[in-house]
Amino acid sequence: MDEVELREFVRERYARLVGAVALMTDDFASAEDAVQEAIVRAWERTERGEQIVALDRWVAAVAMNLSRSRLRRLRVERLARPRLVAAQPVQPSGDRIDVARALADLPRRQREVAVLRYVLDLSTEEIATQMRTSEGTVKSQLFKARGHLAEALSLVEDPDEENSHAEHR
Amino acid sequence: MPSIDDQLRTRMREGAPRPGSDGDLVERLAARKHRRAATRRIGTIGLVAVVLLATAGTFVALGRAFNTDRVPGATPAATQTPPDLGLGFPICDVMSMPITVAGAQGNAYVFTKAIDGCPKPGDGHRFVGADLDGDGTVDATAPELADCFAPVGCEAFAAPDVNGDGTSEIAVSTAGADGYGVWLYAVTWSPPALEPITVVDPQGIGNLQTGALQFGWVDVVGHAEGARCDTLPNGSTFTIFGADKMDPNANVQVTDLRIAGATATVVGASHDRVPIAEAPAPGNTLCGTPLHGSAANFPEAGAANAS
Repeated sequence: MDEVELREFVRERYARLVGAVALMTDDFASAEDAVQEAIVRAWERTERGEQIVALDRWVAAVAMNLSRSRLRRLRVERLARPRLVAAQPVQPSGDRIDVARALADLPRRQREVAVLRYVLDLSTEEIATQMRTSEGTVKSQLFKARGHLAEALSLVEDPDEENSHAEHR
Repeated sequence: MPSIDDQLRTRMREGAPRPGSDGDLVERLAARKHRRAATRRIGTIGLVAVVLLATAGTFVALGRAFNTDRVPGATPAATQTPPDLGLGFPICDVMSMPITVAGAQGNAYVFTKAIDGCPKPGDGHRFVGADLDGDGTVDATAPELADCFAPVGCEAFAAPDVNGDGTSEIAVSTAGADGYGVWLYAVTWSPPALEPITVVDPQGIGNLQTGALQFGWVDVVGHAEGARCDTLPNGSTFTIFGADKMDPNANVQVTDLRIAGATATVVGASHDRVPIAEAPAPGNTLCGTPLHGSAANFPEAGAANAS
């Protein structure tokens, strides 16, 4: 990964990756730090000649693993405070609060499945690989998460779509 | 009308927090990469220097510290008349410490098989065993202890309940150049068993090798290793840490483990740089239980080792 590729990756994927990890962990500072750390690790690996097939998926997986660490979260929160002031992230709007609250009510695995699916567009197979679980489990978790989020966010199902889902079930 | 999936996709993407505009992000990433490379170089050089210094100093210090009998007040050392633990063979150099097994009191023993007398510490065949019901006989033993280095050999180290299940785990140590290496054993009541705890790392995130769990207990100039227990709302974790202290900061590596039975699963890990004053350091207790044997007066012993 040379600097041109890095700039392109950062421009196109950085914000969405940070958003996804932040939704999952409910910790923006930790998410931003984890994504940056993951990008740097990917950069180092490619310089050593290692191949990373799907860079955005790799960075997402590593960033999410890093974010799960409780100690890292606590320390980053403290260390990142001055930087947050300088960077001035956008304050959460009403819609963002709704989404964050709805996600926060989900069990961790359902929350992760929903974010990987709806924010990062991963397939059930890719989610299963990343979470080291079966596709069946992913589908089950996604079904539950979808139902809870739709209710919490007052989403209305198109009648045709509803029939279609009913047939699938 | 869009489907629920499409609506969720839209709402969640719009609802995801976004970083503020940051034109110099790539430059900051490059700086971070350089810092990581520099830290690795400094850490490697420093660690080599520390290990060499500590090893040289410790040869002298350990010789002075352990040339006589073991530390008084710890546990019986090389008792004149070894207890009969019901093992069916003569034993010597017995150390014991109390353990809790499902709420009842028992004892853990570290002992040497006596063959034509009692071998010197570090020689012979040394074992760890457990009396699970406090009747004075050993109910379970683990395979022979390895790497029991002279002049101290392997010792009973501590008996903490690291996962809060009401049964102690048994920690056994071997004294090295700059501190102790510690193994952890899981006690099972039915059937009676004593198994070395092994590390699994399904996410590949830990700063530990998988296989038999071993951690250092070291606090010397420039380097510290140890472990602690944390109680969280979702259960207890056993945290192993290491810190390379290069003034004014320390590189701290932490691995969080969840221990169930004889399996320690890595559930979290981090690698951070913190002020030296905030770096973790081992003391003379492990998860609230006292250290035994020559480690009972740690960190004084560690400081002596490092001098």
